[in-house]
Amino acid sequence: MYRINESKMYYDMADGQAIVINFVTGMYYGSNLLGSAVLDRLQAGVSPNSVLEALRGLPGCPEDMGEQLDAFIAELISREILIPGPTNAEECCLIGGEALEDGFFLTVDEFAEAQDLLLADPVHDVDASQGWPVLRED
Amino acid sequence: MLQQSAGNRVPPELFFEAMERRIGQRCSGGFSVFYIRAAGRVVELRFTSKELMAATREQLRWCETEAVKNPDARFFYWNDSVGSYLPESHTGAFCLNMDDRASGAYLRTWPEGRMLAFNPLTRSYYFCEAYKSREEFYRSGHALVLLFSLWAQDRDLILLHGAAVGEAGEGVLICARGGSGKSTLSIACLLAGLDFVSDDYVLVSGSGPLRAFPLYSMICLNPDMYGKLPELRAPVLSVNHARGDRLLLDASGYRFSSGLPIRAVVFPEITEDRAASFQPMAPGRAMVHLIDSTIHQMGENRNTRLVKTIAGRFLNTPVYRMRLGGDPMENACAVGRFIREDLQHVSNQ
Repeated sequence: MYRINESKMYYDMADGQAIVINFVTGMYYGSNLLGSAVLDRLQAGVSPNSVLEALRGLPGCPEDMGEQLDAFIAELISREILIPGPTNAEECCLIGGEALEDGFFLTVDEFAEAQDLLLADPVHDVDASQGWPVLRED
Repeated sequence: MLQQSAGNRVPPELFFEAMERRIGQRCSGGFSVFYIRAAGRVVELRFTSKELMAATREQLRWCETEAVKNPDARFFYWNDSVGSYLPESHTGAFCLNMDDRASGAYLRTWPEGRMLAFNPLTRSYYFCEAYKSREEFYRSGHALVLLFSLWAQDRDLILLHGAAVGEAGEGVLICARGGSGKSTLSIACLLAGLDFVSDDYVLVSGSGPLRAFPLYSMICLNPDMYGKLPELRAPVLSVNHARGDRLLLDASGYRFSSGLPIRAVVFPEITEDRAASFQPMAPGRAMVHLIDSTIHQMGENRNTRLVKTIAGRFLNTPVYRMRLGGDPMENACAVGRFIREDLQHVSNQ
């Protein structure tokens, strides 16, 4: 089973969304609603089989959910968000239908500075004779 | 993304010269100016309108100080919209950006026309946004928070979205999401005679001993909590009808602490308990709230450097969950006791 890698990660749920912060790299991770619900169960020590059973109990569960869950867990491990941990047999695994509001899939999103591409640069694109805010025509 | 060649680069100073010309055109009668002292540094704030200056000054009154010849930095704040100059093809979260690590020059604009910039040659910081009425100005939150955050990062300081209070020269940082009792608890501490730094935004030293400094003297309270603190004597600056009639109050008549060492982080939770209590907790939840709310308030949700800096500052700071009781003033007394007795005990171990 799994738990949050607390030697590197801060974790919390806010309004149904998981937030994970790698305080060593400053990287920020999020997940869609269903992914957040699954991550929350996994980090509490619920077994992947119990999570899969809960997912299959939801209406409209895709047939490949087992593969999706395996890939999701593999990504969480590869990003060092989850590490092996104890099983929590007492933890109940219920996933409500509200977790499906943004789709029946599991994603891990990474937010970093590099995602903000510079679309134009007013220093380098500015008209040299007139200065800001007149941009070069070319 | 536009491809640039080194040959056609225009130096940052040209850009900033053009921008200052533009500001000057909007302010032919001279700037309205006042000065503040924050974390031991004097900053000059220049405005193109008296109205804009007055509304900002109301929020920073406690830190206001006399004019100096060589301030640590100069802030320019004016109304304009850079958005009207952006080519139509430029869309997305940030339309124009510059973060020139070599020179330190910085520029960021938003699609709605706001602009934040720093010219390292003149130590000048710039913020412009479209004109807002006084009500809209207050509705958008604390004045110049993005500018102060940028300045703080350049000065080995961090502007955090949190409160700070203390007792007998020792302080705690209070962090929580909106609606978790952070402001009410810290304002109750102010009324109970504890050392008070801030209820919402606090400057924290970026290295060395962890220390909190005040900036804004405007405090914010929900109307129901305002009713529970009848002894509060702070003129109402504005009422934010868009946020449940949240009251924005001028607390500059009270004495603020000029700086407090931070010994712990307190994470309050509203409960049905009669009396407040404290328990040590793993830092994860509190740190997510502190970092997440700070970087979102500052519009810095891609800034891994800032995330690392905040996290690094609090790595070895103990975190306590505070289960709030029903009476704000009793909660404040509990904070005082906690700092005086429990925290001192932990520090001495």
